Amino acid sequence: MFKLVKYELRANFLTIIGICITVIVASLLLMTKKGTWTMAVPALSACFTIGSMIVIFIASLKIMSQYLYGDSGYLLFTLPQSGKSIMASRLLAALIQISIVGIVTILMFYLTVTEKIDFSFFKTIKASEIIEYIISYIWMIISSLTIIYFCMIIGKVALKGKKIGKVGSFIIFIIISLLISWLSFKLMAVLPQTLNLSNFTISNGSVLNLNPTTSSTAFTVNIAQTIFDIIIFIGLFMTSSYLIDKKLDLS
Amino acid sequence: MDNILEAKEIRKSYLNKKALRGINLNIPLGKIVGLLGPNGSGKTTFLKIAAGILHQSKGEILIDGNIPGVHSKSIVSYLPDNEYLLKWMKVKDAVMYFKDFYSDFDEIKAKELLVFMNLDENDVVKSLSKGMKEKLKLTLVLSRKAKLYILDEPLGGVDPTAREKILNAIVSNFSKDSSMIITTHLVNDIERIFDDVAFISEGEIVLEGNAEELRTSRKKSIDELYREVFQ
Repeated sequence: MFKLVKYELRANFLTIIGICITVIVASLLLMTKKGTWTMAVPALSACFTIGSMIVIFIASLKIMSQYLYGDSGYLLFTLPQSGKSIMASRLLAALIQISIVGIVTILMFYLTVTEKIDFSFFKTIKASEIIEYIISYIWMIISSLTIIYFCMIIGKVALKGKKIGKVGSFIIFIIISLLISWLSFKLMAVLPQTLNLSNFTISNGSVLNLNPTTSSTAFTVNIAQTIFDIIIFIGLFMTSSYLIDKKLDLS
Repeated sequence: MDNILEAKEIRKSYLNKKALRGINLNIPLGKIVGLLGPNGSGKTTFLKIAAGILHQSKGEILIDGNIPGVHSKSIVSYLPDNEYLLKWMKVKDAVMYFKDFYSDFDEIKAKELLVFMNLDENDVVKSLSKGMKEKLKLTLVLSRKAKLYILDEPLGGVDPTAREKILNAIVSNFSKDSSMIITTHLVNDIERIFDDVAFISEGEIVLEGNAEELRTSRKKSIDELYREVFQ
């Protein structure tokens, strides 16, 4: 699996380096306008950060699409690797490349907008909070990519034809996302019990404070929703792996 | 096991099109089998099923006694008829890729074949001509000590001089403890290496047998027989 990750990263190496260099150069140019463009500098820097994250995220999806619809699939899917190994390597490679770009762009954003370089704010953050942030970040990337990859694979398996497969995958993605969100919301309403990850106490919490991926301050998770999310992730991962092994037909 | 590949009543349908209509084919160990037929006859479809990248609608196919999967992929060396190598790769990257993923890959043999095929390790794959890409693909596939080699149009896009070179490479690298299945349109060029042949038309095998016996009994070369069957 890790060999696959190595080649996945190598395949996207130029994209990763290209984005990082572009962001660094653009940020350095913006830094020369500090004090002149008071509003534009942070706004443009934020645009670079968001834009580069979107580009690397799309690049991660494009590779999967090329494997499913392009000739390179003949290389990947004839390897003696299981569907689980292929899925895990895709997710891990995507997480690594998104993280590399994320670290560079956020760092450049900070350096661009700050008046004085000072990392002392790290001292005010507890180690447990950092771990929770990291877990939330990894979970957000992995779970969202798993849903998208599942939709791409099922679109390819169920719908013959490149165009219809891709459009179908997008429609399936919207339907599944809406369905998961709706079920998740319903579960939170019915079972509002939350778990505080700081002290591991269970209590009845407000719905608005329950999602660790959307809240940066509340380290409570809704128990039912979290279990539901984990089940959905495992289900989609295993189904995607099964479809790769048993149902995927390359054209 | 006598047969490395056993296919029973393999059918493949796409909506309203039937690509394969019940293929029965056994490939014994130590044989080079030619799967011959015109465009759209179902040759590539059958090979893709054997390689594990396409799934039959009905029937059963066994590779070394197992259904196509991770195990079969580890013992099958498949040469597809498209440009499947990653575009960023240099020739040496492609060699390393195969070395990393296939335990039966022989790097020394690969380097010998690269020299034989006049390929430079530092050339970028996307800069190679079609014929050179074909030679590279063949180098990678033949450098494995696989039980079954599946070669889909190995001479496609290759000039006549290079064809002879490729055929020599195939013959000299073939061992009797493995088997090979080859599809081609260029029957005349390649028929000398076939032990057995199977003619496929509209998803069905219409004639099969030992190549030498067919030549003797029909008093025709395999190429002439091909033209007679598919005229």
